[in-house]
Amino acid sequence: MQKKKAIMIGAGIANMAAAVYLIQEGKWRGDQITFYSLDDHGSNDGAPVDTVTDEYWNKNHPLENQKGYVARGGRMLNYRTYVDLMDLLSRIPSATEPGMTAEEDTRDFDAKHPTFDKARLLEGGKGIIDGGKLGFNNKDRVLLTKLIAMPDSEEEKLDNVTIAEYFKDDPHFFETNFWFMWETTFAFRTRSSAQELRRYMHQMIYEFTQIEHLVGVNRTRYNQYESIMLPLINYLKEQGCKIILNRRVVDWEFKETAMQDEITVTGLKMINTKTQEEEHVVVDGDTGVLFTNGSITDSATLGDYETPAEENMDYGAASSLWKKASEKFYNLGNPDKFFADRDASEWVSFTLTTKNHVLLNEITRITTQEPGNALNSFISTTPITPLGQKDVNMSIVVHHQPHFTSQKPNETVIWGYFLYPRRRGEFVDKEYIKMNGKEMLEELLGQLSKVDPGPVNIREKETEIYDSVINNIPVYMPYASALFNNRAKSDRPKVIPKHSTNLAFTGEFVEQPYQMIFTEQSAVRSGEIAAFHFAGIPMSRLVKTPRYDKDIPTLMRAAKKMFD
Amino acid sequence: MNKKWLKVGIGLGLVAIGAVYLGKKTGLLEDDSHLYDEFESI
Repeated sequence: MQKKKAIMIGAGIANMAAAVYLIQEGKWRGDQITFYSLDDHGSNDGAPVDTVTDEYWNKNHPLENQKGYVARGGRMLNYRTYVDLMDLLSRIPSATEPGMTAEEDTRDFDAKHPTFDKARLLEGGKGIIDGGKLGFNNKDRVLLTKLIAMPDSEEEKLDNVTIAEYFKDDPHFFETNFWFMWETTFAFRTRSSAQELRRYMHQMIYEFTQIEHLVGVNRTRYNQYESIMLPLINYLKEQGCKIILNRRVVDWEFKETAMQDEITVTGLKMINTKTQEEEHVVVDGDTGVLFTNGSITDSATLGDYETPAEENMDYGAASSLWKKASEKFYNLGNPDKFFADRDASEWVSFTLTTKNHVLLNEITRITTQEPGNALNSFISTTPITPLGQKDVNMSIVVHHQPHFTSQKPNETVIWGYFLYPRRRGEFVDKEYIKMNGKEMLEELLGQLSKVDPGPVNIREKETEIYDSVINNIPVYMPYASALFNNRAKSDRPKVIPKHSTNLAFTGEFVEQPYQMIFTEQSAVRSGEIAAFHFAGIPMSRLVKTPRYDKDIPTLMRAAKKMFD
Repeated sequence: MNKKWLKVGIGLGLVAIGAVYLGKKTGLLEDDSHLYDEFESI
């Protein structure tokens, strides 16, 4: 239904994208759009530690070391698939490169620093593994082919089926190089949704032939906040949008109808998190409400070099509000599927800042590749999964330096993560989730020492490396992989739910045709759909998305690769 | 000669039927142009 004003609940990339499309395609003025949000970045963060102390959360222990940088996660882009994101970036100026759009900025950087991963997988005693050998047996090939060959119209056959269940008669699949790379490139876990794995196989099928080198991966010049979010924020503020922060929307007011068969928002209750005062906003008939109904960094907590990240048991700001809406209407999905099963979704990441390049140079020597080119995953040398199999212990991303515009030339920033935070460390005898920044560095050095080709092992420089540390911030993210949680197709609300007159859902927890989630692409597209709906623009004008799963040459190449 | 062409014709026909069947079974021939229609503004 066409509207004249918009209220955005949440100021992440999805709603910011919606605002850009409302302004540029819908010809709205910026002042017709108001954001209410806790922050202005959502999951696309990245900042000096001393600017994000309010996200530290641990009330029982002060954040002692506030130096260095932190990014809870990172983003790898893919021009060929992320067509809506690239379209969005082409519409706004870069925040760091004068005279360039954000798209030109990214393409310019990426052309000068193309990704070619030389050490995607590493294993103790073996060093760099040839990931090009995917390691399939015939059973793996048959099951994967069946998954890929399943048409969109039959996708519901995979409702509530986990990846582990889909491959239950084929545990070998989980010890293939393919799985080690796929799980860590995209952050799938064995308990994740087979339905989503199918969508990934469809949209990323061409990656299949080059996954060991990550050739299709594109990167932004700096961290995701400065290269993606800041251009959006600058543009929207310049256009006159109101971005009201430190607001947590806590409840809805809906129009009461006899059968509760119409979804019409009439008001919002929110809390000013600075003053703790309650506020109320009336939603009139001319206003569309765009709600980002979940965030993978909700309830994330920080630690520091000496302190582990405490576990915050909060259900999540956005998801709590989603739950209130879903309790009122039958067709708005089931947030518990995504936010009441931390065991399936949690990770721990860390952001390490050093005052020199000793560690960076050592990693370059061991992996034989330039910084900024890779995602390195360390495979265990002993069984570590419940099935008694080997798996990836941890992964790191050594960014092109500098990764932050304020970073000094002598400083290095490295990011890493543990996909299964309840597993025990190999070099520090405790669960990863209970480790502080120093202990996570100890794990990293231990893993690097196991794959070091020598002749002088990295351990010889251990003291020098520890002395170089400015900070290492561990981050616990209970919902980092929640968007992959096992689900039925009806567990996520559609971008425009049936019977909705003014409420749209945006972000990574919404259902839209054939889009895979955990990409900037799907988030941007959801915002684009909502904007087109409220501005009365035909959906035929949406950015055209490629269907590589229907491209015969791509499928043939993937089939051939399966036998490598 | 006629028999040879008949065999070729039948062979090509079977391949075409097989291709269409496979295309339908795997979704290769599924039309997805209407999938966004439900989001149109009324």
